Amino acid sequence: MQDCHKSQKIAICMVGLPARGKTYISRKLHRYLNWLGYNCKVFNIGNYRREICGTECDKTFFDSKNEQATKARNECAQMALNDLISYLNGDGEIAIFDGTNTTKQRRNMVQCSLSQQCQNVQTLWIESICDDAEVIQNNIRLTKLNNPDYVSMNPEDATKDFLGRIRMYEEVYQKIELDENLSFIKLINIGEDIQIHKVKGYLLSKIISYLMNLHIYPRPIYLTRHGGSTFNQENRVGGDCDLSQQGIQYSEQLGKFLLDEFPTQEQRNQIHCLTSTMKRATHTADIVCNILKISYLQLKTLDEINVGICDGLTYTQIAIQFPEDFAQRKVNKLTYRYPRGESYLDLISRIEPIIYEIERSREPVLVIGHQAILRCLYAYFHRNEISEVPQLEIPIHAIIKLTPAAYYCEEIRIKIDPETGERKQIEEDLQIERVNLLTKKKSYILL
Amino acid sequence: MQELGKQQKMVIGMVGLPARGKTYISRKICRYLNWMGFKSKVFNIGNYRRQICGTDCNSNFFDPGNKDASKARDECALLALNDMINYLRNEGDVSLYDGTNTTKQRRKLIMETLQQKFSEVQVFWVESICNDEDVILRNIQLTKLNNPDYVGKSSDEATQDFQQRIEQYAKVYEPIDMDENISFIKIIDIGNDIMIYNIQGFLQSKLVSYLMNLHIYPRPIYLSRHGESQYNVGHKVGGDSDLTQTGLMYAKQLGKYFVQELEGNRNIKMFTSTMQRALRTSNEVCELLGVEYYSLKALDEINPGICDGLTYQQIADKFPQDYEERKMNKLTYRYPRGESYLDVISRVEQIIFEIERSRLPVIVIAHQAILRCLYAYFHEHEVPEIPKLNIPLHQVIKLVPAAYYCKETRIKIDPMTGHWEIQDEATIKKVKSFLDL
Repeated sequence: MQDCHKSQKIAICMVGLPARGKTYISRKLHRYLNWLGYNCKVFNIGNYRREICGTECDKTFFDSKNEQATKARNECAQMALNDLISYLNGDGEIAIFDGTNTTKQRRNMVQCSLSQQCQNVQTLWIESICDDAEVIQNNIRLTKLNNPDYVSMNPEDATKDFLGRIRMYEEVYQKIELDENLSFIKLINIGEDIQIHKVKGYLLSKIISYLMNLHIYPRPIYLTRHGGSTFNQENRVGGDCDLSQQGIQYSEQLGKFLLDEFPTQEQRNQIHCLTSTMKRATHTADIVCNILKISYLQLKTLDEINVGICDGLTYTQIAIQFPEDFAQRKVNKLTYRYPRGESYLDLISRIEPIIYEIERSREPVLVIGHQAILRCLYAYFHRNEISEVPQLEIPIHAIIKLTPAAYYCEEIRIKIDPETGERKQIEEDLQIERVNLLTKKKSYILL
Repeated sequence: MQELGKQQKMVIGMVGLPARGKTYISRKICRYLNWMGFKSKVFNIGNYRRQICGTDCNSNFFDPGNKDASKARDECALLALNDMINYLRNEGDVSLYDGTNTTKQRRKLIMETLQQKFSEVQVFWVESICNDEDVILRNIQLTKLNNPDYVGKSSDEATQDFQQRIEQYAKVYEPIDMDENISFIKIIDIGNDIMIYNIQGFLQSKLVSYLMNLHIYPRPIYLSRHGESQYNVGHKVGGDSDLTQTGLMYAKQLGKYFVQELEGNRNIKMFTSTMQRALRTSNEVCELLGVEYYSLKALDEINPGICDGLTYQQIADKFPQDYEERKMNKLTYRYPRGESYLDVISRVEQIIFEIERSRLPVIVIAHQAILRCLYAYFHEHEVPEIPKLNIPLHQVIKLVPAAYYCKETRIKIDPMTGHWEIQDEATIKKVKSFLDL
């Protein structure tokens, strides 16, 4: 859908006191927009400040009465803004300006620079307001203490200094007001209260919808392929075949694994289990959910990539019967569309509602899906580049557990032996190595 | 996708002075929810009032100081509320409570009554605020003057009385406040400003996205199937066949139609599918118009799975059981390895948003099953009717949104002669086709 809307550039500017989740929101948006296919980049003023002024800045650096420091900080903001404007005037489509931008004067400067120096740009201001002391304290603990600014301090001193820094900003903080004539969205207390002013346009509406669904509950997301199927064994693509004997065994072992992950029935009842409408997936889900005593949802949007005329063939047969297509796919696996079938890009478009659903959910999510589908889902959460999607490794008979942390997802991969039920954790760096190996191999092509 | 939201029953309460678009919004939401698979119904308090108190109520009836009238109006509100609860207890999923609900006291009464009688229900309020005098006057002219309340009165008289009625309400109007502890969305000046508080759940989230995209620009929507294809001629389903000679001629005539219809306006949005027959048709049209089209996989025809390339007779012979099943329930029947109409509705939802959002004329060149779903949404058909709607080849359906519905015109275009036959709403007959996709 994005092709219809690539006419205007967009600048998204954050507003808010420190520790209000501005960087969290910027990075989430960046992830989402990149995944949708837009060229998007975040410009974090803090990073510019650290490079130019060094990291030994205690809270007095942020005192508005400290003239020298204020001048330096303004220069950093200007530099970040200049880079942002160059990016948008070049091949960038969406730029995110991640900084406090807490005064009317600063916002006015940014807005004017953007309208004067960027051709055809829409701006959206996102203000994050939070007065829940616990949330702020938690934010500081999770994200600031590992910050280069506090490398040499102990956590207590660092927290104290950071709270002092926030107070400096509070002294001059002016919330966005209507007379500033900006398009904005205010997110108050993590989306409990949302105010939207003058937001129009396809992409901005989409961004708003996305932001409305964000939260900070650290619920885990489990991704697994269905158990091995008869087609898997024969190296065939497509089809709607059933599980092999091993596949059934895996499903049982998977159920047992999840029983251990969720020790009480109450916890199990909270699991949101999603699967496709294909036999191999629903059969796996049947077995797993029987063991867990929960129900599951079948969604056609989770069906495996449609391979069109190649349905039921092995890779060798495809190479022989459709040599041109076979070659085309090798060259660009992301955009290649099977005749009468789909491409990876079609898949990404197709599963977008599932992404929303998973983001929205405050309870654990279990997706029993297929290789291509899971590659897309995984890439979103693991922040892979879109070009990597078709080569990502999603092995059979393994479960991937993703737990959202501050700015990324913690990942654990566990291979489960279908016969013995033995569980082995796969190391992540090994997995990265495997991906590199795969992209180098010429004859080995994954679906 | 409706499976994700079918957990709790929901009541959506409207809030706002008269002529603020509450009925427009409730009917749009009702339309959208029904189309998505949630059984919804609007309960308009005004209708109850007209039935019980009669239609001869001038603005004095709405004076908050008029004790008898206030009592009568409260009773009507509670009657509507009771019917609403019964609906939810039986087959309904969502009820829309369409009334002014302009005081905290009234809203509190409703929340408390619902708590007592139906505590498992989720409640969500939609407040429409408008300060633009022109918009309000236009609303009055479009929707109130035809109202049964003003039969027999001149339009000046009616407008004046209605404005007085608004003033009566304005005397006691209390916009929703956060201390009322309710989930709400405030739409101010047709979406210029939106405030959202405490929305919860899949459905509320979707509704907010939907409401953000609504506007009142009366842009036309044109729906047409591709020109006749080779498979059409062979009575085969599915496939990715090309146009026949006749089909190609239709495409050219369609282009000429649009050239005349749009009068040189190139500011339009055109959508088509990724299938040959639609692409070729769109190509011809776009060449004549000088515009570009967007090819979307979401508009591809319904996937007939294993029946692809067969005629209906062949399907009846090879898969007699499926053939029977489909006849019995064409809406939910899913072709093996293919799709059902419900799958198509789900797939096509993003196009609905796209069309709703657009303030420019929209042209969709697509396929029979797809257009049935789109047409049903705009023309307010019941979902079960969708698989039988009449969308013939070589015809353009023009829909122009009016106050509460879409004005429909059908233009039959003869591929050979280019002759147009225009059928307006009154002459359109809905024919049930049995031999359909």
